[in-house]
Amino acid sequence: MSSAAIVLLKDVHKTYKYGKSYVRALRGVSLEVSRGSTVCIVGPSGSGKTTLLNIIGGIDLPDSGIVVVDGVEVGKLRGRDLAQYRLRKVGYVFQFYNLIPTLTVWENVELPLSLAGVDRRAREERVRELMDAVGISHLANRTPDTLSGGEQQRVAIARALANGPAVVLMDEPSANIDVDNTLKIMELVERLNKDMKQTFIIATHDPLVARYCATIYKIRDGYIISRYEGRDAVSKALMGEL
Amino acid sequence: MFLLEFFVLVLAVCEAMVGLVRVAYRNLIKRKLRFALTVAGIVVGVALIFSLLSITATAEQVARQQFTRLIGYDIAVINGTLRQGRLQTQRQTTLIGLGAQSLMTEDVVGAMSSIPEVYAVAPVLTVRGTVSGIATTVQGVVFQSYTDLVGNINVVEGEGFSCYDCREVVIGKGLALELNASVGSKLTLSIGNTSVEVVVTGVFETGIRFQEMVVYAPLRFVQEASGLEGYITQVLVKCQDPKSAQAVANAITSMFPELTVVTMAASLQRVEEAINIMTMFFLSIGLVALTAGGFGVMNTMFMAVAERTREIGILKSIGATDSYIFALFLFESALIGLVGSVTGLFVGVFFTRVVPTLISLTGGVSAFGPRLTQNPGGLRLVEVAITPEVVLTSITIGVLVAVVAGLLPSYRAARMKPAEAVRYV
Repeated sequence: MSSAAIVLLKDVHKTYKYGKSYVRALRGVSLEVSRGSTVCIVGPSGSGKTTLLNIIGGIDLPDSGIVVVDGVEVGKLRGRDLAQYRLRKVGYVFQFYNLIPTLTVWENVELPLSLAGVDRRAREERVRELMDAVGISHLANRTPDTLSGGEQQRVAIARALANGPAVVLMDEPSANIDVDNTLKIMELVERLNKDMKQTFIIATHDPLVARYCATIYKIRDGYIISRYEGRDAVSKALMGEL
Repeated sequence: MFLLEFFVLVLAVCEAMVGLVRVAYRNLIKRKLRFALTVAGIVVGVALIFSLLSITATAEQVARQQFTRLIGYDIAVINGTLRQGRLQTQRQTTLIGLGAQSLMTEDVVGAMSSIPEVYAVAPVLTVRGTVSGIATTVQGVVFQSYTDLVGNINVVEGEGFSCYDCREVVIGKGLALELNASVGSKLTLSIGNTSVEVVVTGVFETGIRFQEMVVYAPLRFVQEASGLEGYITQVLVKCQDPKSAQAVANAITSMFPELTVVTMAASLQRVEEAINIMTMFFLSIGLVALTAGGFGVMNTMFMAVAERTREIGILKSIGATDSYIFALFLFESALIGLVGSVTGLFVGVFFTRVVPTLISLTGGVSAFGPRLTQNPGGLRLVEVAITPEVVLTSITIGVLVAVVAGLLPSYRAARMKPAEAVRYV
């Protein structure tokens, strides 16, 4: 692992059992993500993108291999330690935003801070700062069901950033929003990456999203089949195959 | 410094709990009908428990009051065995409604008076008789000493008799109403084969109808009328110190081993034991109802967990611990229990206090029995006591049942795997 790498995966395997059959979601995946970079995991549906994000996010555990995020070996964590890892080391933006429907926008953003035991004043300050950063201050008292897809996506990003995670994971950010909103969201991601030096790992099959990434890992049938580093390589890859 | 840190920690815990309650409340009211129906199960159980406990608590309170009011003495002595030579004829005792074993000679009174710790002794001869055709219990007493000792005869009209063998009586208010008699009225008192005319000198009231169907007459007069001169059925003993009642009882037993000596503390204990059994019985009935409500809560919570699987997955994915999820769902169960218990309490109060009052205000209990106005004895409504213990017990049981019912669903929620839960649609 290079000194700048914030995420390192080495020979990670994951197999799911569905009834009597087994699905090998990841087959010896290895990758490295530098601190402050935006990395895309690109591949078709069922290629293992979400599983990969879930394993980096501590939502799922690998069967074998090593996963190190910000110096923490995720595969060894259990119970409360794993919950603390999910709370403090990663921020997760789900495909369907996954906001808590009974909470307001403000409360959704505040939730990870409450779970982390941040005191009220600091919480308020942080929530305000995040909502300003993603441009949702005017939605504070609204509930998720009254928001558009783009707005929900912004709330989910603000929530993911709440505890200043080492890495933000985004699963198919363009899946449920139109092109206009996709561009706005990705511009926001780009800005946050630039201003806050926030590391993003984005799973997508959308070239519109992938072109915002400095590094692309292509995944298929649980294998990383190629890696493109730098804007030029990414552009070429996008024009050629995606 | 330590105190300050502790205070901050307590504040943080309180704040977290307020947050949990808020989330629990919002989740519950999202499905109002289901929430209301689940709460209704607890309401019924708690209302039942509250009503039954209140009634038994009131019964205990009333029994204690009546016992204290009735029993001014510490020891009652009766004859529990047949003792040859102390009786007159079997025929006489049968006629006046006494078993042969009921009588004892009057000389025991003097012997008991000689026990140093004894403060006062009152002999009583109780026989069955009729007053102007109405069956009654006649108690031959020395009125002044008897009332001093027993202290429960509240003469509301006229006064007691002061003679030992005159033909004067004090009758209960219930009997007076039945006979339409008052002070100065002349009545025919029949004991066995003897009928004599007596004059009413006083009317007493106890508030309890069956007690007011009694006639008090001078001891000598009752003994003569019943042909039981020199005999009594009971001796009431008051001790100088109630704590010495057992010692006095032991002394009486050693003097008269054939007599049965009953201390009132033991009697009260037996009454309380009986009421306790009744309380347990009623409580078990209430608990059965509440258990049904508990299953309702369990069902609702299982449904809530199933419906919110995805939400549980999200919470865990963003860092919520198993214990947080467990607490979140348990708080919902507890909230159902609390709302149900408090509502059940009000329903219980309504049925134990408001309904009887409303019925009495309408002038009677025609749905359940004779109208009050047609019941000259006065059907007295005993106001059901609402004690803090009963309120606390009812609420605690209601919340506890809901919490216990919520344990399994909450555990299931807490054990969910985030990766699977978050995929749930």
